[in-house]
Amino acid sequence: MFRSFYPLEMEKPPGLMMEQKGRKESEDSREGKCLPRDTIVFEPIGSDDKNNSVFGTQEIPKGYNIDTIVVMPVNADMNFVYWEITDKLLNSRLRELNIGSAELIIKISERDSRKEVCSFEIKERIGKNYIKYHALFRPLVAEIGILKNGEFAGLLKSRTVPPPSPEIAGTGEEIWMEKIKGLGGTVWVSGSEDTHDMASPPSKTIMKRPEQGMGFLLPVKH
Amino acid sequence: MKGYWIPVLHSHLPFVKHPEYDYFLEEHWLFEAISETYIPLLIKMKDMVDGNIDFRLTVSITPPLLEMFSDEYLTAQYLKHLDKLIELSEKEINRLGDDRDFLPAACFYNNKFREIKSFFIDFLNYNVLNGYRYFRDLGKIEIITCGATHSFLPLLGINPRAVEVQIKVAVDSYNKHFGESPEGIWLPECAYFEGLDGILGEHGIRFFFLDSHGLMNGRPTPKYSVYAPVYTMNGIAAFGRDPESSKQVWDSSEGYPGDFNYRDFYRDVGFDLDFEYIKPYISPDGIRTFTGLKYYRITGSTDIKEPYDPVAAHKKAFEHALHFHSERKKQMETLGALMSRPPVVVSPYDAELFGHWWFEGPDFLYRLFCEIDKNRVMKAITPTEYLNLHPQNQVISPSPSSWGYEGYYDVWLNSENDWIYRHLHYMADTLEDLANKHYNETDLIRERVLDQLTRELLLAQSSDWAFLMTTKTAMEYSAKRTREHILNFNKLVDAFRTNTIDTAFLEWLEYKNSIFDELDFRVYASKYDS
Repeated sequence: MFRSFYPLEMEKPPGLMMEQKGRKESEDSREGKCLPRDTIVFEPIGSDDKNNSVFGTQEIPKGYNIDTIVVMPVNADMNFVYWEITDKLLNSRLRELNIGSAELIIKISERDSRKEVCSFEIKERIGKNYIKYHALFRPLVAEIGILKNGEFAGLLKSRTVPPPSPEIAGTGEEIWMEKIKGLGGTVWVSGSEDTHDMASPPSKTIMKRPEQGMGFLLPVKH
Repeated sequence: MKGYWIPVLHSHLPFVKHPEYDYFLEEHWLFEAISETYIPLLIKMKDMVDGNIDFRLTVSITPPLLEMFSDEYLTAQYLKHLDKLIELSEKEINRLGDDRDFLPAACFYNNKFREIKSFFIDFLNYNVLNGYRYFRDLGKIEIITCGATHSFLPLLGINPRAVEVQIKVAVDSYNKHFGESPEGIWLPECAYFEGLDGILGEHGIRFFFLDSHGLMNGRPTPKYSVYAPVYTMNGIAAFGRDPESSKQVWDSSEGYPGDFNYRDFYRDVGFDLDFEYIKPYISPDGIRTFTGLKYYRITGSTDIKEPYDPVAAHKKAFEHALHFHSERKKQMETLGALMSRPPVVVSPYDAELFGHWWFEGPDFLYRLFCEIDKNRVMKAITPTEYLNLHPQNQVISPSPSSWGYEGYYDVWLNSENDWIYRHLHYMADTLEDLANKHYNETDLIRERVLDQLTRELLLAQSSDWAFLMTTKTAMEYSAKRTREHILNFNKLVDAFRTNTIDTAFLEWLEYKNSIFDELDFRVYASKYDS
């Protein structure tokens, strides 16, 4: 049994605190990497069940009989992917392609550049894996497909989330904003804090609209 | 005046309520935190007001904590817990007789527990929130919100509605408990992803906080580092955590709480005393637990501990307050020479550090505010006050980040806890679908099922469960809680779809997992906002 909330620190010498939350005693021994197909480390879902014995006989479902594939960032160098694919989707695609059976492949690529990051074979309809790749939080897209005559035929693509934020292109020019509560407005200011011109809206050349997503807060002149 | 200081205390505990047991160990997380952190901090605030000491604190109180503070069952349990503590401390005074080493500590605890009970009843009127409201109304503290159930938002983003609902429900909960909308938010685990600022803005949030690297790795690099807030492109202010003042308190080797004079957290009579004697005050199943009576000081890296001396510890807290004040002064002088405005130093901490882990923490804060008030070389300020003074700030795009180990999402997504996400995402998708399809549902029972589905999902989304799985010290409970909410959700969905609703089961869940009793499932519908 654990002894108190946030018990991590309690494993430390008396009185000593951790400066970052969630630090573990030893590094995670996670082995999943984006490796060539024949060396991929595959961890099927359900391997964690040993940790869940407390709930007795009531087991949570291993899957939901749905078609899904999701990629999530862990850090700048690691992404996590999980998937579930149904017989229904697989069989219908096999029929379309007029083949009896095929190996399932997951292909990972960068969403914006479409650069392929890696691909690997999967044996299980429900599974998960870690992708070691220096994506720096650039969104990745995962696609499950099958190989027919060496060609990748897609079955299911991951959803693209989160939507991109508006961002400042790297011109190095400072942009300042003034927000005055109650006056209902925002003033965009170009240039440095000391040399600003309150009348100037931001130069369009230093701001860009995302392809999809939030859009701008429209600048309002006072 | 050399600069501004924004101290932020993040107050959070997951929603834990087990009326199915007379005694439930995990409910004591709340009771310990009330007695050791929240009330001692409020007492110090009252002391400052009574002593005409000016101070400013920014306090995040998460919605689960708001709900637990206001829960009648938990309040009754807390009073029982407090009475037990008073009883034990009296028993200890008798047992210790004329023991010069430990009797003073036993008397100290007895007085302290009585003071806490009196404050809880007479000043707080049985609800800790009344204290926070009181100091907010005096303009001394700014209360900010957090995610509805403190979920790790970047990992819910696969379903944008899930993130929006976490923010929307949090704002609604704040409104319910404080009668107004929050200006700011403490993002759960300080975790940010690109796009989150837009959602915050849609719900009227004016500012949030980032760990240092969330700001410093932004584009472009902020001109004033973390010593002035920035605006995101959606116009939301982001304050960055100052690493220096954090380190002085949090650091595992150099932080103040490790001083040898301070109270040792681990040595507790619940573990030290004869089993038969202490049995009525620990878990009824015989598991030894912390009681709150701790007689030793840290002493050093040794198992042989010396008796705790409250007077020496308080003197040390004063020394540390002076040191902190002097270090901030030097820091602000250095920064001020490089900036065209006074720097602002943002120091966020878990509130529970003060009092629970670091017993003398509330006293340290009190002494520190006294120093600030006396010397006037820096000014404690709230984020809203600062933004009103300095409405013009640089615009940057912050970087994805968190305040967890390694600074990103690793603590909440790793091989120990990654199994939860397929369930959380499926549940959010399913609920959004049901909310859209049954938006105009009029059958009361079916509406209640949909409302409870929303509660079960929100509770499953709490970041605490993934965190505790990673730390491996509360793995059993956290995994159980996650599975419980997944199972409840699936059972309710099946019953809803087959129209075989077990009303007794529904009522039980409504009572046990009672967070947000005003919740309307339609919040999950995509047409809700329109």
